[in-house]
Amino acid sequence: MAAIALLVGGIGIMNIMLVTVTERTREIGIKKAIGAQRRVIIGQFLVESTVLSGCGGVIGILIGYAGSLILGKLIYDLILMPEVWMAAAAFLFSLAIGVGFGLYPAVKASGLQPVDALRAD
Amino acid sequence: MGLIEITDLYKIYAEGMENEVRALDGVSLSIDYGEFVAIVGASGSGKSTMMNILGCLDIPTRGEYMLDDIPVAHRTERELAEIRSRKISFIFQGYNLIPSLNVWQNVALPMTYQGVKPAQRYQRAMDALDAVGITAKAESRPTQLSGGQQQRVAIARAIATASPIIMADEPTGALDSKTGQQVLDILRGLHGLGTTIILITHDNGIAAKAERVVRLQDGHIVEDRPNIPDESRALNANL
Repeated sequence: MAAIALLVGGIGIMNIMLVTVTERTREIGIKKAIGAQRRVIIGQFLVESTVLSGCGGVIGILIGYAGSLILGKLIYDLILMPEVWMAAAAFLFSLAIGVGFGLYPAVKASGLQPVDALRAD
Repeated sequence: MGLIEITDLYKIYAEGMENEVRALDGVSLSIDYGEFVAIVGASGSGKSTMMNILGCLDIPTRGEYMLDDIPVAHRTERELAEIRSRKISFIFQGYNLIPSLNVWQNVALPMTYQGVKPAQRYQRAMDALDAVGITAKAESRPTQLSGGQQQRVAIARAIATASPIIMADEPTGALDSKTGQQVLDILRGLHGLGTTIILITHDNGIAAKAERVVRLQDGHIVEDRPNIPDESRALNANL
């Protein structure tokens, strides 16, 4: 179930980044025209997808802590808190999802030819 | 050897197909250091294709292109980006500023790709904005500026990189005549400082501001002549 959720989340990030690439085609063309290398464009979009997934990770961890506290209190009348290492691992995993699913849109963006990208509306 | 030397250059779309288009059909041209050249032609003459190839934004189908003694016709994309970063600045008809960056950040952006240090970037960006008289707008977003102001920012971006070549593609096309004249005056000032200016235009009146006119028609150069700019002509008439 968790793997499916991660996959769906990752595909969501990839879709958002692909839309972003399409919307910012002209910007990519400008940057390439003024000297940006492919790695610069890849880096820019990877950072964006990683920040996006990292934010999702932080929100998910906060919800996880809140859920543990509430459900622990309601069901067991105990204060239940996930281990810090689990939260850290979840956060790192969310970043990895961002990198993994952001890679294709980033490579696609970097592969645009400046002359074509500059013609985009 | 000139700054730009193209020999027997072709750009053919859909080569060998029924709908083949010869945008450039065996063009040869030499542009020297410090020249102010207008490449003129009607829509479909091949002038934009010429600019894209001269500006290393596109590669020719066949032919040779030497830029500052470097053969660039068949370079990799990474090498072309490096050449653009070091040798060529662009001024486009549509300004092509990045809306999410403010004015000085737009001007500084190409220097980021050149590896210029942040403090130097800011100073050089402000110096370039000063040169085009728009420092007061340094913190504004491009969308807050008029067309003429945006084009000045685009010129500042071209100046800041200190590239030896500025390629201006219809730089006055979206401007009223008075603002367009101001933009041309700035370009002439840059030419006076030794920058090579290549001006792409369909307008003979704009081309008359250059020192040399190269006319393209159906992918061929049909005219290449020195030109006495209007102001020089008027000055000579008065003497």
